[in-house]
Amino acid sequence: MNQTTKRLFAIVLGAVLFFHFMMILFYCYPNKMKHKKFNFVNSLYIYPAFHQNWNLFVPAPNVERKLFVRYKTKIAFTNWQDILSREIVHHKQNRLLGNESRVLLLSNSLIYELNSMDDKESCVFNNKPSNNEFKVLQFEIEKYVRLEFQLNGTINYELLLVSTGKTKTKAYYIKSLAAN
Amino acid sequence: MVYLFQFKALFSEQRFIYHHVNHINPVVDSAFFLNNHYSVLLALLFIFSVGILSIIGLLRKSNYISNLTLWLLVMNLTSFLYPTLTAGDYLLNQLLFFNCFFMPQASKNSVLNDMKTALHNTALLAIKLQVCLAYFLAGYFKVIDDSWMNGDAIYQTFQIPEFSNALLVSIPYSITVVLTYFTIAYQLSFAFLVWFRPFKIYLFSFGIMQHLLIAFGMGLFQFGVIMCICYILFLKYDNRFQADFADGADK
Repeated sequence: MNQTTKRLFAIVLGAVLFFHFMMILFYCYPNKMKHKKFNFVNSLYIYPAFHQNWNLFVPAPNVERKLFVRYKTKIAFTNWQDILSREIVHHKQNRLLGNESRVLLLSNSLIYELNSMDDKESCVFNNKPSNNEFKVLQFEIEKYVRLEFQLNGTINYELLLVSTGKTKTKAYYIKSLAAN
Repeated sequence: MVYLFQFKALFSEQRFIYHHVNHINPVVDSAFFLNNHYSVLLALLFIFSVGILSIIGLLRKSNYISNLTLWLLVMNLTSFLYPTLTAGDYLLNQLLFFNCFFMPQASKNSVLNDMKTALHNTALLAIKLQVCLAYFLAGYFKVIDDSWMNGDAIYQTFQIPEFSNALLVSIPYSITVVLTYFTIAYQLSFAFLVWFRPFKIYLFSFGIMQHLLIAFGMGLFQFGVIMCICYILFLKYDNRFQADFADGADK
């Protein structure tokens, strides 16, 4: 390869790198540009192959969340069990076994659901919430309960979602749920 | 290995992962093939293929196609496990993408060899830039956040059981404040200082300690380990590849 071709090749590669990282920078930057077309092209280029997010622990977590479940046996309801804490304890016992995925799965879904109910005060739901966040959380809990507590058939259960902050604790009690 | 340990919870018929088929366009769908055509057998095939291709890569027998396949397979697995991902998984995807352009096997054609060398070096530079960008953005996000700028962030995080343990929760507030500001300074300066040899040892020492603490203390194991692995790329190991290319061209 002669010197000119080498230089040309280097310039092309440099331009590609520059374009790639500028696109990533614009995608991740906290203040999005107010240019709809550019944002559309930017997302088209980035998602899903180059998708990334670097707002790690921003804002710092300041709310402890708990996910209580109780289900009906032949006699009565079981005691409330905090399944998120249960998974966190398992994960702490051995960080190498991949329990991180289970913790993140339950924790993220719980955060999404609690965020979706942020404007609500603590309350009792006689009918289950109809939002998508709850649909995902409910799916995960039902599968979790079946697998971890080895339950078959129809399961009647209830949920208690709790978030405890520095100044305020909120709780949502969701009654009369059934998993078929 | 982690996927196999948690296979039942993540990939089996009893999995907890909420599965939603979603076709967008053929290019995007290539990252969602496992998601859109899910079966337990296909998931197993993907996991074992990733294992085999990784071993091939470690033995330096990989080529562009095997590296590209590895990237696509991992991207499919991570797309399927979307709710469980951390920044480490996204970074791993980027590392594997640039890994597609690494070419440990030298060619006998000198022009082709020059191009391969240029691609290899560009990919290596790209990974370094990606890591620097990640640190800089992570630092920048912290600078514009109140909880980090008032020094409370790490103390606050250690009070949440999910990201803490008995040791971390007992660290005095004053030390966590110092750690908070030090973390911001570290993340902002990494992108600039890592290119200067005298700073590397200090940056990597603090970085490795920080990421091991994140991995084992805070429980974000994959993220912590992947970030530590990134430091290897800033060492001088790549000179060995350049030497190999030179040898190949001479033959």
